[in-house]
Amino acid sequence: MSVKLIHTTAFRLAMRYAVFVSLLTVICFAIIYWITVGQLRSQIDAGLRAEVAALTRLYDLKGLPGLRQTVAALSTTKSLMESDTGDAGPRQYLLAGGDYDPLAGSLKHWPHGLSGSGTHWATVWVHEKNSRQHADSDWYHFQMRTVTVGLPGGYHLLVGQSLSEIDELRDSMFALMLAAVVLVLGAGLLGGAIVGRGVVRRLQAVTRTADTIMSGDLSQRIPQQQQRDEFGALAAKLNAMLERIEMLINSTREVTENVAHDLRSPLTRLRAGAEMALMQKASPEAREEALRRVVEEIDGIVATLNAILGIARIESGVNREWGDVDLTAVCHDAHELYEPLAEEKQLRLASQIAEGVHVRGNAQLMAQAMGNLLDNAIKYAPAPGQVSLVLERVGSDVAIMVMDNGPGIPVGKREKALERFVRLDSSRSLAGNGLGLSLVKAVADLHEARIVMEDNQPGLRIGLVFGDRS
Amino acid sequence: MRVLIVEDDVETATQLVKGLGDSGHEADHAATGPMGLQNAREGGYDVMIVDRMLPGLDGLSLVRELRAGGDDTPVLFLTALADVDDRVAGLKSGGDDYLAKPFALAELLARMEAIARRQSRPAADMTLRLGDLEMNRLDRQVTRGNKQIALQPREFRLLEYFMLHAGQVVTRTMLLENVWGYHFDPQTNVIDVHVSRLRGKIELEGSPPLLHTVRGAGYCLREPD
Repeated sequence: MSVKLIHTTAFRLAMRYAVFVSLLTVICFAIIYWITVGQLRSQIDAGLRAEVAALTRLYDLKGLPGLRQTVAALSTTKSLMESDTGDAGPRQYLLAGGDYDPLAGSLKHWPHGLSGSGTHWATVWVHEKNSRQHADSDWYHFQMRTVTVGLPGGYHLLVGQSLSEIDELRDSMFALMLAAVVLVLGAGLLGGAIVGRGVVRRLQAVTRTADTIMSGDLSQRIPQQQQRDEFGALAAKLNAMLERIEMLINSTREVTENVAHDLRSPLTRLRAGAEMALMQKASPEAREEALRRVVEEIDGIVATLNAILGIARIESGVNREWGDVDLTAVCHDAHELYEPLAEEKQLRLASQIAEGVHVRGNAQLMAQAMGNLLDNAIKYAPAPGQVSLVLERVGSDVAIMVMDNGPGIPVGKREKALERFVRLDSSRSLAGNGLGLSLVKAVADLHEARIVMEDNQPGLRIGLVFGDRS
Repeated sequence: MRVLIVEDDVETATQLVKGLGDSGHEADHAATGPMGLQNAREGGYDVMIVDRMLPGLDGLSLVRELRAGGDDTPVLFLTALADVDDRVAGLKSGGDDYLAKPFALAELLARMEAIARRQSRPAADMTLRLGDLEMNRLDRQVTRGNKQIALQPREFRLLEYFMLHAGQVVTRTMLLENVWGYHFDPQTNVIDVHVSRLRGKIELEGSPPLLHTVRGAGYCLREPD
């Protein structure tokens, strides 16, 4: 499985963000443009108003000749300031007679549509013949903000200002904006690509591991990187999960193999017994004895299966009644149940049980676990002798210990002893299915208790320690 | 006793019918839940043996429906699910006892008799008697003939259970469940030791034995012949 770069979340997020920032940029530029143009326009209008007022006053003072002279002079000056591109200079003047025939000014025609009496504001397009050499074309056009006034005596005065400044502003702002958008989008694309590639590379490590595991190699783990980021944390979690799964699968496999192996002997005996009963020449007594053995073997097999299922159920932790367990009572009951058995084996069952000890858990399982511990102790202790049951508080912990003076369990084999079907007594001279301590371990795990195994010098000192969880 | 067996596995059912017949009972067989319910409603059964997994109507629902209709025929559940929680669910739905497959016929018979007779037994008798063995449940005194017998509290309860089920076969798991309250199978048969201790206290030299071992099944406390 490979992930295309543009499909990565990082890339798409970066792109989305870049588009968002670009849109914001465009909006910002639009607002700035709108405000600036507004200000420029009002500046232009203020300038034009002042100019017209001044020229009108001049006309009042000096009459037509004075105004005509001034307009001509102004037009010349302004003409000199014309730019090389052939644009009209910033300000245009035209003094016209009664029927709009030009008398003086920089414009050669009175623009169409502008009436003469009173003061009028307008924005018009002007088409003028180019008066300069080396110009690109014969005509040039520009937009102009104009104010026209009718002068006493039927004359008309026009003062205008080219709006090319605003056009220039718009053009440069547009260019700037475009550059900004391209920059943001480019940066987003690049950033997204870099981050996305990083993500893809790290995910590919996970994918590769998953592929290997799916093809059967359960021991594979996701390569751990140094970064303590979310990917590192995820990889660590996944590895922990894989670790647990591998352990569970291995233990399941082991159990299945053990079950198959451990059932083989009783099944063999079972078959032999049944065949014996079927034999023609077998006496009725022998037949009955064989069948009795068959039933016994079956009971043994059923007991083993029940024990395995019981342990599996405890380990799965489902459907358990959970409540307050009076450990003191459980211990007294266990003592009471096993005391006669011990006595029969010439063992003294000595108990030292603290009062009022409670933990959270399942009383039946606790009793079963304790029964198994006592059962083992009584089974392995040499007679005559003593087996001890102790329930005590150790600091904030609660410990149940069972002690015997039997052969004990060597340090190196203690962990092994808790596994299913493990019987340290290789001669298997004593009855048992090798599941007793496995059940104790499962119960301990379910109750988050520790199993303690120590040397009782001689013998075994084994028990559960419950942490303080009140 | 008339027994109704509701069990979908024909092989198991056939053997049960035969086993019950050999033990002097009369057994009918229904193979599905609805059939079982119909048979049960026609009535006349002293006890029912109901498998939990049944086609049509599962065992729990069957018994729940039966109980809702006012029928209180004792029910023994059979199941492949052997766990305390399943047992609890079975008892909650109105079952009287619970037995996991595979089981010994002796165990089934003992439990069946126990629940069938539960109804006819005077529940609150303060004095239990069996031959010359007498138990006063109020002041917890036990005597055999004229002799006072001192019992530990658990031994008293053990004997009490035997006396309440006098004449019936009582299995080890029944004792473990009802006298000790444990719903698991201890690896070693600790119960035997307790019973033999009790036997040592109540059996007197010269008196006929009361507490008998039933081979392959359990124990039976019964009046001397």
